[in-house]
Amino acid sequence: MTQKEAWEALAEHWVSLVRCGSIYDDARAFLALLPPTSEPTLDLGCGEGRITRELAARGYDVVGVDSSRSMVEAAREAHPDGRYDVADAAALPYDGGAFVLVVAFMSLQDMDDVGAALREAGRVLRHGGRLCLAIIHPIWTAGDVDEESDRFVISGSYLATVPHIRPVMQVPSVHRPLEEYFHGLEDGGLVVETLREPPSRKRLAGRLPVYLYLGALKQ
Amino acid sequence: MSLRDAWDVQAAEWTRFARDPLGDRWNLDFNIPSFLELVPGPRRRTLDLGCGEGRLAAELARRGHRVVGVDSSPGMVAAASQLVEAAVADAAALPFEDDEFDLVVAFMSLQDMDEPEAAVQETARVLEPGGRFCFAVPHPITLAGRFESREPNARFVIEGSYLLPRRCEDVLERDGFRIHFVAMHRPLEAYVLMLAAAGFLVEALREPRHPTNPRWARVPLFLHVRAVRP
Repeated sequence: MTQKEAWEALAEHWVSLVRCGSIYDDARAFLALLPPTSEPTLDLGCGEGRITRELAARGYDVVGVDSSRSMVEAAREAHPDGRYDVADAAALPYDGGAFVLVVAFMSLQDMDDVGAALREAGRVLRHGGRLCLAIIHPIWTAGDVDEESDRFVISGSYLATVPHIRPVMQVPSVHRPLEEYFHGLEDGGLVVETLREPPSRKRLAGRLPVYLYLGALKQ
Repeated sequence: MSLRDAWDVQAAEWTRFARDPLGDRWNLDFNIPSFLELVPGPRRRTLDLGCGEGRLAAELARRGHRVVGVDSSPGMVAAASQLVEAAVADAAALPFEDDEFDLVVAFMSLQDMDEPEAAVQETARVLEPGGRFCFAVPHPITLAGRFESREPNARFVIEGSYLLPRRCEDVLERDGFRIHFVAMHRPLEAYVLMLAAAGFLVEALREPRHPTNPRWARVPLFLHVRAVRP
């Protein structure tokens, strides 16, 4: 099953999970890093739309896009005034340079072809525009917390690209080394301005990064 | 002891190790060739920041770069001067004019500097607009932990903190060599933020996998970065 199919199959369950609690407390810290703009913004891999709704509430002129029809239907239902499209991140239905900001919050690690998605993100950004992404940190998906010894253990390979089940939600994802994301950024004409490695507050007492935030500029 | 002094006192032994075919195999066979894939070709003038005994500068000179090496260690610079033009200088206060170089490389040296932030600021100053800064450091994952054994499928374990900068020390003893490695561990974020503070943009990042060693094909030993000064 592709990632795309897996997430479509999961949509109903996901929507009920996300909408009943604060799954992403850390979204706030990420959103604070976004440059303010009143010009067109794309929420790439918007899922059921909670970041799109949040961006709209903050005054962004935002379009949400996701490959899952069910997710987009849920997003439209929750936000009738919003604009949402069903499309593959690897083949976006937008003109080159259509956006000044592309936001990809916790979506790229769940995509089948992250290289194509980053190339497309670069294409739809105008020169001087920005891509801001959040993923699960590749270190975190490379290993496991050994609770007993309070250590972090990599038994497999950080450098391999392999399926990964996100433990908290049991949702299908892909572990990729950071280099793979950088190849996609390079192909998309994107250069990195900033990078953050926020830790988990609960596990390993903030010693390992759980998320990776990255801000890139379209040259 | 400062990192600078810790390396200066073993300049002679390091030079012997770095130049012996039986010595520093990791860098000679693997790290240097893959790093050079990221380094632009020669143009105006190239600076090797923290050149040590000068092997990378010498390789760049062979490839047509007009290169000068600097290192804070007089012993290292004496050795490097046998191979290329080299000068004793603090990376945090470079004896060069603004915009003098189109390329600065720092090969396995930033982690051994006492003030890398100031060195990166100085790098930006001596680079012309559009100039590139390429550096190699031990991968932050690798300095944060260790393999439990030498078995191919050995577990890699992080007991302390990846996120907290920390001084790391390790003694290598084999084939008649004795090298006391001292370096600062820093998370990736710290390197990117120091680049950003100096106005650099990161163009490329590589985590080369070792072609034959199964453990280091799973966990990256080195991190390579190329940044541009806009």
